[in-house]
Amino acid sequence: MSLRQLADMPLARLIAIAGVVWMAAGGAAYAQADPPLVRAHDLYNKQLYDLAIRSALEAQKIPAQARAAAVVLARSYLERYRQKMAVEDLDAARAALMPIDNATLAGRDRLDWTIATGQLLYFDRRFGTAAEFFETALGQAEQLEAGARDRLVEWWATALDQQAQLGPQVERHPIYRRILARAEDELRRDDRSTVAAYWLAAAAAGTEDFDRAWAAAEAGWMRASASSGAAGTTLRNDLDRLIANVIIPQRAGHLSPTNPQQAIALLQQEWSDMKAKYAR
Amino acid sequence: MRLAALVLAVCALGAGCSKAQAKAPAVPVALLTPAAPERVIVPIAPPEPVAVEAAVPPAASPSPPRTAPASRPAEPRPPASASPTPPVAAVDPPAAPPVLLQTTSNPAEVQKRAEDLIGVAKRDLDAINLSLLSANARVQYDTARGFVRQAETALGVKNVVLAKELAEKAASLATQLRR
Repeated sequence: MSLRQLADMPLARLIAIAGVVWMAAGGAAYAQADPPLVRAHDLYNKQLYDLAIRSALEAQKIPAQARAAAVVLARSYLERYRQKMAVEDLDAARAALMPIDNATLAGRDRLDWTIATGQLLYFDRRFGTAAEFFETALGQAEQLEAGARDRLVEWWATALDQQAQLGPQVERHPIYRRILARAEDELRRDDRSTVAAYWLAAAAAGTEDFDRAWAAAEAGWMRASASSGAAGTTLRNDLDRLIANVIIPQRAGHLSPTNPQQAIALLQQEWSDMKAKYAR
Repeated sequence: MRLAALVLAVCALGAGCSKAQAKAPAVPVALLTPAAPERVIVPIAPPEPVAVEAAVPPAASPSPPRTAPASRPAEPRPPASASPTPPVAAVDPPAAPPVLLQTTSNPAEVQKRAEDLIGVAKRDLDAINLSLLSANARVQYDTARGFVRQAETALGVKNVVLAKELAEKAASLATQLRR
């Protein structure tokens, strides 16, 4: 098309052509500004997992980004599995993750791979192995965002708790002692950690130290009032459930083997009194 | 002609500006660490009252009447010529605690109980409509299923005590879910 032909066009058509040129140019520029890997990460963080998966699959076609794309792809499949519980997503996450040689990943990609592998193993119900990966990730938690450390401790402790629950009694105490030791460390590091406060009580109960479990639950409940927002509320609710469903029945059995029901009633009253007395 | 040139120039400029913006380095934002699954707290069944009996003296072997309370049963003493016993052997054993009557010690009974509980848990879990469960309840459901599988495995290797324990957890979680 010559300039003369352009000049002869009606203005409306000219503007339409200009619009198309503009959009094409703009679209190309957008694609360049926001490559698929960047989009995939952004969409993952926005919990738009279908779109994140699409972008990650696109990014995998770029050789230099293929491995990093596989990590965010796996992470997106895992989160979609949690939302929809479709086993195909778990299989897809495994298929994306397993071919990656983590030695070829660096920095955050490697840490993200470690977390993804821990999650995958958790959902595959290989709880002890999952905990090993979360423990490794915890060693590099300073690379992660604020609050991530607590989330990793929660993954790690939950995985170990599940492993302990499934195993014979004799194997449980060492597992709960591990959780107890870390909960103590985490509380020394950050006395506002609601995750550590919960697991201190739960792990003490797991080692059958019910007096310690009771004291830790009370301390956690009091600390929770100082924690703002949902974390504090969740901690209080979980401690209430832990006390009612685990600590009181077991402590009552120890305190009064002949009349546990009476001991249960007394302990329930004691817990209610504590809450009333120290409510904030 | 002049108008066409002007329009094209604007387009080119616009695209150019866009590309200039696009050339800013694009680094993926770091992935946020996912939240862990909801905590599953498996309820412990309230303990059964335990009957306590005083220690019953052995009835079979008649022993001579004692003149003083003895803290340990009379045993035939070795002859004086026997090798001396170390001092520790002379220490009285701790007083025996009251005998606690065990409610069960019969493996067949425990196995039966485990099988019954597995059946109850499976029935309750099968009756649950998965599409109505929240994500957190789904975690609890999966955990209960896991306990059932492990209980069956434990039964398979004749670890009836573990099987019963796991089956109790499965049944307890399943009951909670059905409420």
